[in-house]
Amino acid sequence: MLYPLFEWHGVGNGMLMAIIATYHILPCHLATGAFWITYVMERKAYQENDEGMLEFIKKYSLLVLIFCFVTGSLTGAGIWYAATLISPRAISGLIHNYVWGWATEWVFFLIEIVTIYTYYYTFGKISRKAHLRIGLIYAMSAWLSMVIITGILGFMLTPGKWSQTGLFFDGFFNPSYWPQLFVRTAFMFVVGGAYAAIVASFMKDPDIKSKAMKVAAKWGLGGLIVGGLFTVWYFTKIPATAKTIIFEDLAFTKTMFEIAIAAGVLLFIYFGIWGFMKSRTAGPIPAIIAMLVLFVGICAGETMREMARRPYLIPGYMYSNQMIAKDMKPKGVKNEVAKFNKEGVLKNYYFAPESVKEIDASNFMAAGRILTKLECISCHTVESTGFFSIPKLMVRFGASSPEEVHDFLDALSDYDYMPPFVGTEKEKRAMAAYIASLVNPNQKADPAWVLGK
Amino acid sequence: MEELEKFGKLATGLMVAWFIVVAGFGIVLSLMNGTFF
Amino acid sequence: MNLAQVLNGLRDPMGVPFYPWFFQVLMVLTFALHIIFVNLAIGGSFMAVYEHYKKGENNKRLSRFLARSSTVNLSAAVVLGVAPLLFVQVVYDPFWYVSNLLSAWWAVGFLCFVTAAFLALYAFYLKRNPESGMKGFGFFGWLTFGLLLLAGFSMHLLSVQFLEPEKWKLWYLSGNIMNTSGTTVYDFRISRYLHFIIPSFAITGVFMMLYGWFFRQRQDMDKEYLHWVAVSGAKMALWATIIQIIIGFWWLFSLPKNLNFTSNAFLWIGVILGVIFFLVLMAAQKDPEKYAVLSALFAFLAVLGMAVSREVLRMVYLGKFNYSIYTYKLNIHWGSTALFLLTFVMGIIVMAYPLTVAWKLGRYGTTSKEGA
Repeated sequence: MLYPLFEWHGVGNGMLMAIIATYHILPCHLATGAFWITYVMERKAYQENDEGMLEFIKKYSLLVLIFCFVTGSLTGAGIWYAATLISPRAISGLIHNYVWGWATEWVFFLIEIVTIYTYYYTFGKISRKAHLRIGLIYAMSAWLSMVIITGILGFMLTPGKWSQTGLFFDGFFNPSYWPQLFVRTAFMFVVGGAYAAIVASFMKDPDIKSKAMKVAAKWGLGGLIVGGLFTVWYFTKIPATAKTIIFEDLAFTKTMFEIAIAAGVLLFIYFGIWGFMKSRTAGPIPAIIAMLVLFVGICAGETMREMARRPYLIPGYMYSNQMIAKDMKPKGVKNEVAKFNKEGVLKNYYFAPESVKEIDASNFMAAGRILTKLECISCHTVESTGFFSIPKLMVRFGASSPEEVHDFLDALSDYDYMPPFVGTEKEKRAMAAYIASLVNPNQKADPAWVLGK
Repeated sequence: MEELEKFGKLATGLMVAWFIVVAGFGIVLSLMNGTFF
Repeated sequence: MNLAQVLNGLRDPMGVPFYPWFFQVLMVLTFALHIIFVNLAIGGSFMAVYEHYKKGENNKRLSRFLARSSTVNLSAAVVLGVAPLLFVQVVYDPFWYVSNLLSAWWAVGFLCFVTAAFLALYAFYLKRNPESGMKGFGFFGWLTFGLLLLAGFSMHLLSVQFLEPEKWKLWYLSGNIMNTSGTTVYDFRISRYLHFIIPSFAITGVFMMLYGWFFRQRQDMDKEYLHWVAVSGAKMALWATIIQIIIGFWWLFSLPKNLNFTSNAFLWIGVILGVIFFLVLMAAQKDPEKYAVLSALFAFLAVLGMAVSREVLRMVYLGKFNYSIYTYKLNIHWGSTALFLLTFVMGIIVMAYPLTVAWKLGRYGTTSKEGA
């Protein structure tokens, strides 16, 4: 059964997820990468009795403490909230399969909290061995949380054998899991390096600055190269439709791919120049610009990955509009599309006004509006502004009359990334009438046509 | 100090062991399912 | 479609991977822990800025300690909130999702309020200078407290709306228009809200008692200051608990009569634990350090008892619509359940190590045996 809708008018629900999720990648990949860098740095600093480096490490870990544990944890929960508001049935489906995965990940979050506060507040007050060890436990714990979440994330594009068995581990260790894990592990060092560079750029002493910048650059460059190689592996494991969507169907996603590559190249140059050649004088401005470039690159890469999942939220099971597309026998789930096509979507929607459940000449516009929102606003807007505005798209595709929109709805699943229209013929016509009115508000559909007389 | 030191090693060791067990299981399953390569 | 059928139909067709009672136990337990740390963050941030504005040396020191500890407590509150949030979506998904969707921007707002509160708290803690006139940055302390109250209100309204499925459709629809804006506050209950906020001062009071007790063995800390903190904490905890009991009965009598909650055994178990806690606090007034650990134990038990009462109240509310978590479709999976349980046990052991290090350092000023 379908839930009430949340609608970010004029902007698009997708934007809520995009803002929160893209931002989240920065603190979370910093959290997973940073303390491997500091572990190596701290060991070296103790061996060489390098007070300056220890001062750097303390500043860097404070950054991690505040940035990751304030904004990282809350944007992580934010992704979850965004999914709840945009597609509750999808997040519910994921939770009802993977609750124990998330609970397991949570144990690592607990360890992270305990270790990072202990690490920071015992700095210089406990034995070096103990301090190093606590930092290492933090690093391991943070990475292990990534090991877990990547399973669920990968599942959302390549469910693998889960589609036949419905089993947790079949879905967790899915075809794109290992490549994605390796990619993120490599890229976490890029993020860690970029933040280390920022902290280094604020250090006054040129010796410390230079040392720290070199370390940051080595990790950053290494991460970029290795991550790039693993990304190639990743692309071999994603389904053909995903690749078609990214590279052929949508100009937008291909551009995202190109932006991500460009960002990687720019970061490579940044680390090369300020990490090595200008390491003694590296200032905050290039470092912050590098961070912005990194953010744009992440935005592009993750958007591209998310778009590739269309038309599903859970491939082969649930469409982006939250409707269940296929039977899932191992779990005893029947598809809904057949029922909705036969009986109608509105009849089965508890939250629909009673007055529209039976479409007639007086209510078909209202019915069309409700159907459009139910089936489309997880990705589109009905206004002329915002993410993938429907009226703008209709103009682009040359569909402006109710009949033209209707034919467009008929052919919807010709597009790789679109789910089919779901509902009765009358409902399709009502939706077409409403959408046509978005393109041309003066246009009034003929009730006789809508009712199929 | 000795006990605390040992405790620390235990903590670290447990996490490494967790990873080896879970990743090992995962790799085996992935190979069986044909999802690794 | 009647409402009972709808609620059942909204449930996830995938079912649950383990027995609902188990998720329920974990949900209640982790909620109790979460709310304790929320209370510490709210009470701590208030007291930090309150003490900041007072004149004495002790006040300044206490303010500094509470500001710092509040950052840690808020972090803990956030991470501990993840668990009940997860489990409530396993067994009560229809209610949680509808309530969130109806007031979507309040759900998002919650995250913004907590993030802003956290950043304000860091600004207050890191930037305020005890030497200067102590102006300006005190504002950030008040901001933290206010934002946390707002965050609490957001959670509160989501929780109250959750319990009223009979009103959802009325709220969502005006004629044939769906209210998809997500900005509306549909319902809240002051007595319930206050019953979650006031204990902040009781729990923080106990926290201050523990502070006085914990650092007693340190040679490098001022004993008179520590004692003052413990005494102040004990007094605050006692008064907050008295007010809390009164508010609790206010809430109880404002509940719908048809729930018959006043004759529910689980309510009275919670009340009794609260009263025991009150009695312990009474005894603690004369020697707060001696009673610190006992007070903490009974504070925890009282909160846990209340968390159980809260869950039972929820079951009674939703039982009116024939909703019971125990009838959720089962698709049991032992493998992932075992994965979590084993990981959790490992996690407890692993966490005990840094906690032991921190404990030793805090209590004795050193982690080495010789110094202890």
